[in-house]
Amino acid sequence: MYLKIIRRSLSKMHDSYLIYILACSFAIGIFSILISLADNKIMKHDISMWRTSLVPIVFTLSIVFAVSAFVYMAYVGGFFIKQQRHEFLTFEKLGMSKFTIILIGFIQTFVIQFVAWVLGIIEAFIFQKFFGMLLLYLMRVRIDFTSAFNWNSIVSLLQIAISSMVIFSVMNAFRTYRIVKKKKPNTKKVNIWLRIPTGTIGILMFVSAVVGTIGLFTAMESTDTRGYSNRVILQSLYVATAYFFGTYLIYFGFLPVLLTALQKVKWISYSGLNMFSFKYLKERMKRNTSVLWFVTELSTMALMLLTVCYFGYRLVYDNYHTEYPFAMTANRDTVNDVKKTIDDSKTEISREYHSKIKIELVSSVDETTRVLVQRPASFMSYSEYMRLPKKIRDQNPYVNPKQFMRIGFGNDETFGFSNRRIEWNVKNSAKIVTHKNGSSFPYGGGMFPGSLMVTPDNYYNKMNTASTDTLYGWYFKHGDKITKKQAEALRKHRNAYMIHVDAKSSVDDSTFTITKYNPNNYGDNDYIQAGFVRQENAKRRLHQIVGFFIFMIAIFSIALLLALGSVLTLRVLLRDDHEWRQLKTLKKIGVSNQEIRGIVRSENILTFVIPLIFAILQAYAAIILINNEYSSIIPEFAIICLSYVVLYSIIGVVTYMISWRSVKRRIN
Amino acid sequence: MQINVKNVAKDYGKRLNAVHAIKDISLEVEKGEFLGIMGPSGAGKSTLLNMISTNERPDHGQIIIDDIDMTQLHDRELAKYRRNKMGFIYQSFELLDSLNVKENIILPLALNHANKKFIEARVKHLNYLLNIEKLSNRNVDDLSLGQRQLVSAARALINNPEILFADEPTGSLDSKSATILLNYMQLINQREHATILMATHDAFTASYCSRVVFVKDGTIFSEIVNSGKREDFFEQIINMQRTIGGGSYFNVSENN
Ligand SMILES: Nc1ncnc2c1ncn2[C@@H]1O[C@H](COP(=O)(O)OP(=O)(O)O)[C@@H](O)[C@H]1O
Ligand SMILES: [Mg+2]
Repeated sequence: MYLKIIRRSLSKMHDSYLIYILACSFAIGIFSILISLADNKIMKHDISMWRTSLVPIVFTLSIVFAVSAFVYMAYVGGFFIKQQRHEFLTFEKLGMSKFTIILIGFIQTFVIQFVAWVLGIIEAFIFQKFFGMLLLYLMRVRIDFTSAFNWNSIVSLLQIAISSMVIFSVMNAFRTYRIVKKKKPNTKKVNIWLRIPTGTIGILMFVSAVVGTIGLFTAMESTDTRGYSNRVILQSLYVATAYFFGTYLIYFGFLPVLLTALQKVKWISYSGLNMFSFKYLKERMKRNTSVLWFVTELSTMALMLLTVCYFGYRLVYDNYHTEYPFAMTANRDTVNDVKKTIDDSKTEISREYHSKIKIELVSSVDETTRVLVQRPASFMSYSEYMRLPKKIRDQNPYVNPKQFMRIGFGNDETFGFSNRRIEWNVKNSAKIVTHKNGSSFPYGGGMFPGSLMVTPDNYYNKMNTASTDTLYGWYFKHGDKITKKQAEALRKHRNAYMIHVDAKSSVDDSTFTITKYNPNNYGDNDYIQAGFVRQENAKRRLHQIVGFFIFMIAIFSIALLLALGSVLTLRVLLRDDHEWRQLKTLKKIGVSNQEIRGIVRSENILTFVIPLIFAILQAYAAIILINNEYSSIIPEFAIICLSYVVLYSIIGVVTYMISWRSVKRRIN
Repeated sequence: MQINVKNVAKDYGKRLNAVHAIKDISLEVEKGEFLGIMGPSGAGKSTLLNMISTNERPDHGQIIIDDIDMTQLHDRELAKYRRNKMGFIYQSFELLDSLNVKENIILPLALNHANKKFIEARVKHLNYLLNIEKLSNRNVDDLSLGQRQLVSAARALINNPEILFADEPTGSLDSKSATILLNYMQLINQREHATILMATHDAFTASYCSRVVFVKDGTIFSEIVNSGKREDFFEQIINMQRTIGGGSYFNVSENN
C-alpha cells in the first residue's frame, strides 16, 4: 500500500524528478570523473606537470564541485517534499500515522537518490575515457588514455554515495516531519508595510551600487598605475555588498510592492487578465524570493568564475607570447654549436641579445617543502637587465636601479604569486628581500638552476664569485625552422654543466663546484645548467596548461548552467495544487489558451531575465574589484556575458516550452 | 433554435475501466428557454452541461450554438465566444482564491476590457441584488460555501450572458438565498430572453424551469414541460423522480 503511494507520487511528478535525477547524475558523474582523473596513473606518469601543479587544482576543484553539488541536491531535493505537502496532510487526515508519512518521504527520496547515483556512476564509467581523451586532446598530449578506476576511488565513491543517500533521505524525512507537525501552512503574511521600506532600501542600495560601478569604471579608465587607492577599494567593497543585499531586498520588497501598486491602479488592472496575472505573479514571486536570490548570486559566481578563468588563461597565453617569443637561447658553452645550427637552418633571426650573469649560492625557503635549502642562483645587474629587449621586460613589474626583482619560473606568476615575498641569504653578500616577481624569461625558465635575481649594479659588482656565464638569445621571425635531425644533434648539448653544492651549516661556508654533466653521477645536491632552451618546450607546457584550463572551465560552466537551469526549471514547473486549480479555473471562465500562455511566459521572463540582469551587474562590479590589473575588460566580459545570456535563454525557452506543455496538458 | 446537441457521447478513463458518462444524447434548446437537467448523482448532468458550454469536447457528435459548430472552433474563437455570450455557475464554484470577492466578480468584464465605470456600476447592482455587498473585500478562502456560490453566481451574471449555464446553483444555498437567485435567473430569462441551462437534482429548483429533461446513466430518460403552474410542475417532477430512481437517490426537498 505504501509502496503503491510512493510509486504513484513518483510517477505523478516524473517530469520534475527526471530533470532532478539527470542534473544529479551529471554532477555525480563529473565528480567521479574528476576524482578518478586526479588519480589516473597515465596522467601522473606521463605529464610531469600533472603531479606537481595540476593534481592539487583538480583536487580542490573536485571538492568545490562536491560542496556545490551537495548544496544543490539538498536544496532542490526539498522542493519535491514541499510539493506534496497537501497530499501528506491528506494522508494524515485519512488516519495514516505520522511515522508512516515520514517513512514515505524517506523512501521516496532514497529511491530518487539511488537512481541518481547509479546513473551517475554508470555515466562516469562510460564517459571517463571520453573525458580523459578530451582532456589530453585539449592539452595536446599525444598519449593514449586508458580509463581506470582504482579500487580506492571506487570505495570512497561508494561511501560517499551511501552516506549522501542516507543524508538526503533523512533531510527530506525531516522536512516531511515538519509538514505533518505544523499543519498550518507557512502563511506568515508579511505585511506590505514591511515590504515597502525594505524594498525602498533595496532600490536605494541597488541604485547606489550602479552609480558606484559607473564611478569605479571611470576611476579605472583614468588610472594607469598599478594598484588603486583605498578609496576605490572601499568603494568597490561597498558596491559588492550593496548589490548582494540590495538584490535580496528588491526581490523581497520592491517587486511585490510594484506589482501591488500596478494592481491597485484600476485602469491597468481592470483590463484583461492583468488583475489576475499581477496577483498570481506576485504570489509566485513571494514564494520564490529565496530561490531567485540564490540563482542570482550563483549566476554571479558563475560569471565571475568564467571571467577569472578566462583571464587566467589569457595570462598564460600572454606570458607565452611575450616571454617566449619564437626564440632559442644558449649559454657560453653551447653558443657556437647552437648558432651554427641556426645558421645552417632556414631560420630567420630577427634579433640577438646576450647578458652576463653571475652564479652564487643562496639559502632560501623552498616553496613546496617549507625548509631552508641552499642552492645556486643566477644574478644579473640592473643595467644588463635594462639592455634586454623591451618586449621581454614589458610584463614584469617596474624596477628602479635600486630594487631587486626575482625572475621566476613562468607559470608561478600565473597562479597568483606575483606579490610573493622573497628572502634570499646570498653567500658573502647582503641579504635580499623583495616583493617584486617577474616572470620567467629571459633565457627560459629551464636555463638556469633555481631562479634569477635582478640586482642593483653596485650589488652585482660587489659580488665576489668565480662563476660567471653569459646567456645568449635569438628571436626568430616565424619560429625556428630547425629540422628534426638538427634538433636531434642539438640534444647532446641539452645539459651544459652541473653545479654540485656542498652545503655547510652557514651558507657563507658552503661551496659549490662546477663539473661536466654526467647522468650517472647526479644526486640531490646537483643542479643542472641547461645548454640551450628551445621554445618548443615552453609551447608544450602552454598547451597543457591552456588545455587544462579550458577543460575545467568547460566542465564547471556546464555543471553550473545545468544546476541553475534545473533549479529555475523545476521552480517554474512545480506548481502546487492550488496554483494548478487557478489556471484551470481561468480556462473555465473563458480565458483562452493564448492568454494563459502569456501568464506562463511572463512568469518565465520574471524568473529568468531578472536574475540574469542582476547577476551581470553584480559580476561586473565584482570583476572590477578582483581584477584591478586590467584597465579595460569590457569586450571580454561582454562576450562572456553574451554567451552566458545565450545559453541561459536557451534554457529559458526550453523551460517555457516544457512548462507550457505541462500546463496545457492539465488545463485542457 | 439556439442550441442543438447532436448525438454527443463522452467516455472517461482508459479502455478497460472506461466510464461511459454520456452515451448518445441529442437535445434542442430554443432561445429564451429555461431548461432543467435532472437526474441522480453520477447520471452525467455536469458532463452534459460541460460539453454544451464547450468546457469539454465530446468524443462524438456536434454541439451547434447559433448555427456555429462549437466542436470545430479554435481555442481563441471559442474563448471569445464564451466570454461574450456565456455565463457559468459551477458546481465547485471555480473561484480564484488569489483574488478577493469583488475582483472575482468583475473578472469576466475585465477580460473583455469593459469600461471602468460600467464595471463598477454592474458590480454594485449585483452585489445589492444578491445581498453580498459586505463581502466585497473579503478573501474567497474565508467564505462559507453558500457565500461562494453567490459570488460565483454574481460572476456568471455580471456580463449579462445570452446563455447561462448553472450546475447545481442552489446546492449550497439556504432557501432564502436560493429563492433570490432563482428569481433573478427567472427575471433575466423573461426580461432579457437569456437562455438558461441548469443542472440540479432538487425538485424545487427545477420547478422554476420551463422544461426539464431527465438524464439517467448517460442517456435522456424523459422530459416534462412546464404548463404554467409551478405547483403542478413540481408534483410532476417529483413523480418522475420516483419513476426513475425509487426516490432514495434523490434529495427530494419537500416544499420550500
Ligand atoms: N473527469 C472525470 N474523470 C473520470 N470520470 C468522470 C469525470 N467526470 C465525471 N466522471 C464520471 O462520469 C459520470 C458522470 O459524472 P457527472 O456528469 O459529474 O455526474 P452528475 O450528474 O452527478 O453531475 C460519473 O460516473 C463520474 O464518475
Ligand atoms: Mg454534477
